[in-house]
Amino acid sequence: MRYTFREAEIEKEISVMRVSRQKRDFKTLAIGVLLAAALYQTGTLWLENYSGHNFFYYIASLNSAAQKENEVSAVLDAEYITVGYGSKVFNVLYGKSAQELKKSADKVIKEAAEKKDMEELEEINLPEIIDKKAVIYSMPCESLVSEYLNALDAKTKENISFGFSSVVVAPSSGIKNEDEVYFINSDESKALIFRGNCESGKNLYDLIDKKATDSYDSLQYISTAQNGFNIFGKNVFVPQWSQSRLDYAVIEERNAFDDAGDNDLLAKIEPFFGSYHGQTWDRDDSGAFTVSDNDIVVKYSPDGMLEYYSYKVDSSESVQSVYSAYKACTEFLALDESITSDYYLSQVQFKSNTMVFCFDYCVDSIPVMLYDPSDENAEERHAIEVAVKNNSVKNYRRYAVDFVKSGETAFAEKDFLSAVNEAAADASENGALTDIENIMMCYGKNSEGNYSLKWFTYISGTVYAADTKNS
Amino acid sequence: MKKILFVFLFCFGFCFMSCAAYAGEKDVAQVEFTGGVDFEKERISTFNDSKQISGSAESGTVIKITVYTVNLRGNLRERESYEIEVGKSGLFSQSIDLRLGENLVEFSACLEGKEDFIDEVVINRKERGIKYKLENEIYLPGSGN
Repeated sequence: MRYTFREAEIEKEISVMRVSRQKRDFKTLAIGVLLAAALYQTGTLWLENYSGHNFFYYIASLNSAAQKENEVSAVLDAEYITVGYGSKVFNVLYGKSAQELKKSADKVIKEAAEKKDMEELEEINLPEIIDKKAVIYSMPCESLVSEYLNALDAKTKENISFGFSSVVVAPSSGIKNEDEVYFINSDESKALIFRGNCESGKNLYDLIDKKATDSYDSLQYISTAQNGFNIFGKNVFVPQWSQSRLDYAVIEERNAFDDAGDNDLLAKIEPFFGSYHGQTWDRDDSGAFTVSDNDIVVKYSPDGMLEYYSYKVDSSESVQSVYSAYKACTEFLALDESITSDYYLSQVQFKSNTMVFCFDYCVDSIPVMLYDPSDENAEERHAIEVAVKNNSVKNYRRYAVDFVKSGETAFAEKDFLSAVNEAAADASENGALTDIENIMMCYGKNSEGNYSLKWFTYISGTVYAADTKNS
Repeated sequence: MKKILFVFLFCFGFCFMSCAAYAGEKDVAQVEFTGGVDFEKERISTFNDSKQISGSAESGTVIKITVYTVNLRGNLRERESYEIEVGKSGLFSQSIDLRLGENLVEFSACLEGKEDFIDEVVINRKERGIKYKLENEIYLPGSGN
C-alpha cells in the first residue's frame, strides 16, 4: 500500500512537470512568434524590401527569375485602332471604344503566331492589305514582334526580332480565304505575315460586321493611300462626311477636384501610398494640397495639376523594356480613381533610362488637344505623363479635369482637303511644300477656353491649325 | 505654169493641215482619278450606301458631281449635287450617297480658259443582304441554292 502511495506521488510530480514543461514550450513559442513579427515589422518599416536582404531569398529568386520574365510585361496599347469594313470605309477608335476589337484581334494574333506559318515580305502594298475587313493597330512607338507576342503569352517556336509600328489583322469569314496577321515596319515598308485558318478569326469577322452596323451614323474615315493622295508621306486615315456639315457634341472641361474638400482629396490620393497610412498633409497659401510620407509626395495644385513623385530607392536593377515599363504604368494608373474621362496612349518618350508614357483625353473617339501645337511658344502638353524607371513609376503628372458633354451641338463644315489647302498655302509661303506628315481632327481650345473641333495639319515639322467652320 | 501648180498644191496641202488641226484634241481641263469610283467603266456595282470620288486636278478647277436615280422607265431624278473647288494641294475628294438601284453619277470639271471635262458612270447599289449570303454560304452546282 505504501509502495502504491509512493507511485502515486511520483506520477503526480511527473504530471506537474509535464504541465510546467508545456507552459515553458508555449512561452518559448510565443516569444519566437513575437520575435519573428517584430523582425518582419521592423524590416518592412525601415528596410522597405526586406525580403531582398536575406541570403536564402537571393538563392530562391535565381530560380524564379526566368519564370517571371513573361509575367512582368503588359500588352502595349495602340495609339488608335482603325476598323476597315472592306469597302474603303473605316472608323478610327480611341480609348475604351477600341478595347473590344483589340481583345478579339489579339486572340487572332496569338493563335496565328503559335500555329501558323510565318513569312517576311520585302515590299508591302498597304492599300491592298487594308482593302479587306481588317483591324489596324497604329502603335505609339516601334517595338519587337517577340516582345508583343511575349506580352500576349504566345508560345512561339523562335524569337522574332522584327521591329513593327503597326499591325493589320484581316480575318476570314470562315469559309473562304485565310486569316492574315501583318506586323508592319512602315519606315522600311516591310512586313512579317502569319497566314492560316484560326478559330478566333470568325469571331473577329463577325465583330467587325457588328461594328459596321453600329457605326452607321458615326463619323467615317478614308485612307489617303487608297485614294492615291501621294502628297501625304504615309497613309493617314482622315474623317470625311458626305453631307455639307457634320454635327458634333459640344464638350466642357470641369475640374476633377473643384468641389472636393480636404477629406475627399485625402481619400482620392490615399491609394498612391498603398497600405501604409503614415502620411502627413498640408494646404499652403496658394491652395496647393500636398500629401507626403518618407518616400512619396503627391501634390494637387489649384491649376488642376495632380503630381506624384516617388523617391524610393530601388533595391536592385532590373532590365526595362517598353512592355515591362508599360505594365508598371498601367498598374499605377489603376490607382488613380479620380480619372473618369476616356484617354488613350498618344506617345512613348525615351529619356536615358526612363520611359515616359503620354496619354491624352478623348471624347467619342475624337482626341482632345490640351495645347495649341501651331503656337510656337506653346509648350507640348499631354493630359497624363507617367515616367517609369527600373520598372517603377517615379513621376506622374495629370491635368485632372473631366470632359463632359454640355448637351449642345455644333457643326463642322470645312473638310480635310480645305484644311490641307489652307495649310499648304501657309507652308508654301515659308518654303516649298513637301510631304504632309499627318492631319487630325481634334477638340481644340480657343482663347475663351471653349472647345470646338479643329484641324491640325503637320507639314515639315510645323503644325497648322484651322477651324472646322468656314470663316 | 510650174509656179502656179506649186502654189495650188501648197494651198491645197495647207487646207488639209488646217483640217487636221481642227480635228485635234481640245484643251480640256485635266483630271486624274486616283481612288474610289472608276469612270473608265460604264457601269459598276456596290453593296455600300456611299462611294468616294478622289483624284487630282489643277488648282482652281471647279468640280461638280450630280447623282441621279434611274427609274424603271429610264427617267432620271436628281438626288444629290456636290460642288468643290480644287485648292493648292491639287486634290479633290468627295463622298457621295447612293440609293438602292441604279445611280447615274455625272462628273464635270471646269477650269477657266479650258474646255469642260465631263464623264459619267452608272453605279448599281445592291442589297447588303445579298453580300452576307454570298460571304456565308457555299453554293455547290446542283445543290438547288
